[in-house]
Order: sequence, then C-alpha cells, then structure tokens
Amino acid sequence: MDANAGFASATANSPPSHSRFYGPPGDAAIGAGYLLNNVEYPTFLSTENSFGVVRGLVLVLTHECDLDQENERLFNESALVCPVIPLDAFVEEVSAAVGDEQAAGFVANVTARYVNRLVYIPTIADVLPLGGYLYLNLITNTEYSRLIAEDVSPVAMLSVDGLLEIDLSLERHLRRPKADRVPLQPQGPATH
Amino acid sequence: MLMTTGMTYAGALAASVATVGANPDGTVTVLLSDRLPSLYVRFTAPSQDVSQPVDRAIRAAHRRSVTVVKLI
Repeated sequence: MDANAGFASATANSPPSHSRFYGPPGDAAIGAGYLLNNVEYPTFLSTENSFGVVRGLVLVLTHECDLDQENERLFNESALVCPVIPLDAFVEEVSAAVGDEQAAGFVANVTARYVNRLVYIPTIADVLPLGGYLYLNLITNTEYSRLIAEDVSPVAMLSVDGLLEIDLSLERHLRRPKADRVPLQPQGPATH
Repeated sequence: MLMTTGMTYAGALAASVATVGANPDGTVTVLLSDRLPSLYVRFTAPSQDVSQPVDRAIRAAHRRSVTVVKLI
C-alpha cells in the first residue's frame, strides 16, 4: 500500500478535532504540546540492534513549568518527548510486514482510536505532508538543552483539541486496567 | 442509559458510567448508574493488533525517519 492509499485509509473517518489540531507556536514556552524538529534524543535502533542517539521530529510531553529554567525548582533539565513517525514510512513498513489489506485496516483502526499505543496526528505542511504517528511506547527523555539547540526548529503547537486528543490517548494507553490481579486487590472483577 | 454492543472502552468512560472494570476474559463490566447497582452490561473491548511484525515495522519506520547521531 503506497503512502497516498495509506493516507486515504488514515483519514477516511477523521474525527472533527483533526481539522483544528494545531496552531503556530507563537510565544508559547517550550512544553507540552510543542512539536519540534531536529531534536536529539536517545532511542533503541532495531535495525542496528543497539541503543543510539538520533535527531528527528518530536512532540514535547513535559509541562512547560517543569522545563522553565527561570523556575527555581529541582529536576527541570529533562523533558519527556514522543517521536513522530511520518505516515509514508509507517505505511510502507507496516504494509511490507502484514500486507496491504491488513495494513489498511490497521491504519483505519489507529485513527478510530482502537489501538491504544498509536496516535495518528494530522498533516503539517512540509514537515508532515501526510500526517504522522505517535508510537507511545517510544516515549523517551532528552535534555532541555537539546530542545533549544541552534538547529532545532519549532514546527507547531497542539491546539486545545489536539492537546485533549493526546491527553486522552495517554490516559487510554497508560491507565488501562490491569489484566492480572495485583497485590491487595479486593475480590471481584478487576477495577481501574 | 443502555450501552450498545461494540462500544469502546473509551466510549464507556465518556458516557459517565460509575464504574468500568476489565474482566480476565477480555470483556468489560460496566456499572451503569449508582441508582441501579444490580444492573451490569458486559461488552467486549475491541480487539487490538498485538502482532510482533507490526511493532517491528513501526520501529523500522521510526528508524527511517530519524538521523543517527551516534550508536552506543
């Protein structure tokens, strides 16, 4: 399945929020909802079977108050970021792995929010012409200095709708009910 | 308020139910209202792709989209 077909599957039933997902960063401080390009961060590289440092597009997850260097607080030098995977690379690799038909269904399921660990984010001219994916299991940390490095470029800021979408995605992914019983859990169905 | 089958877990949360609980068999038990404590609706959470090939493909896609600065 080529990228354009993947884009069609990903956007066939886009939620209304996707039409108003971003805005220009303006004077916003670097923090949650900020999309930055060319950011250095550590990650595991499956093709090399090794950890490494890479540079790419990320969504900042840490609140700006926890990053503001003017705030007198401890532990404000690290930021959580989620890498953004462009749709074309995503679709081509998934299609190669499972075939076009299953890939098309999978892509549609991600947009429909049936796949907790992935979030489709809509297009951004030039940077994400077909949109991209947040793979929440790739969330990692980087140093604040890497967010403001000279060659880092601000891309966009999530809007109110975009932030809500991401917040709910993190809620769905990170706060799912346990499949197993946990210590000290009362008898009866597992509860959240 | 009645739950229709096929409602997603997220949809159940958005429907202001009092309690949502996952059962070991993959279904979800929903307590509709404190006013009807004995009424439960069971529905199955939508299946999710958990195949290893897909996850490897996603990682490969990520690798294609970044510039490697250095390997450890």
